[in-house]
Amino acid sequence: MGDKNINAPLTEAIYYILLSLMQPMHGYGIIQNVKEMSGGRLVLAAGTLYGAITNLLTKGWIEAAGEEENSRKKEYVITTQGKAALMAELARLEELTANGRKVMEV
Amino acid sequence: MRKVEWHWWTIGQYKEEEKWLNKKAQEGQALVSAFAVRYEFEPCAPGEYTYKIVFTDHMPGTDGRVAFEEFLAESGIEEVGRFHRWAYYRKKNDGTPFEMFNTTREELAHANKIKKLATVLLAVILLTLVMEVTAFIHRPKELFGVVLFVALMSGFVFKVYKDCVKLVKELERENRLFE
Repeated sequence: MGDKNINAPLTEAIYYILLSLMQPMHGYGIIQNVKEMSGGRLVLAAGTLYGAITNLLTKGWIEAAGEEENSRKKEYVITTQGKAALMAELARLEELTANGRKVMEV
Repeated sequence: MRKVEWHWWTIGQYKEEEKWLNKKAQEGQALVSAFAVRYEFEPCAPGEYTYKIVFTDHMPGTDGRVAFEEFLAESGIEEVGRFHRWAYYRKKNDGTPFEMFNTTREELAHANKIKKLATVLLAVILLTLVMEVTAFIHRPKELFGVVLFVALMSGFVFKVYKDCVKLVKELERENRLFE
């Protein structure tokens, strides 16, 4: 069965988490990566990130990627389904900016 | 030297409780243990820690709770107190704000979970009150004390419920600004 929400807008946090997980990463790594990508504007709150990871795992958009040696830190990575959601969001954002630029003539 | 303080907050006042703990930390008193109305503090550098109170999805010791706390520990967040599903977390100040949620929508979902608990408590106590009052009509002498106690408890639980409703309303109002 297809994912009916695959074309629904993603929250900013989910978008950045999925982008971060194009390579395997653990929770704190995601927080640091998102902070860096957003130029320090977005600092993911721990509760928000935990809830997002739990939901994304349930949805099958990310999966566990094994654990670091001598560490209990869990790593996660994006799945094919997650990549499809990310691509759909990218297309949606591009459409929004393209139309905005065309109308505003900027 | 550790100092013990006793303070009573309802579950709907957890934001005020959080502010109180952070004010204490700003004054150099760090919470090191909390259980119900008992709080234990020890000296710290002013503003060394920030505190957050969370109504977690899991009971202490369960797999879900352990997983959540291991996850928080990765970000330098430690648990200093627990009571049922309540948890007191702190983080050393590193220049970035310590928040548990990024959006008011998530705060609201958290507050609604607390309100749900208060609603169940209120329903149970009111049902008990109705049953006791019904029995009291037939045996007034024996049940006077019990009815009085249940009536006082109902008043207390109603106050808890009212605080939760107020908190949820405030967050709903704020949430409307950002949707």
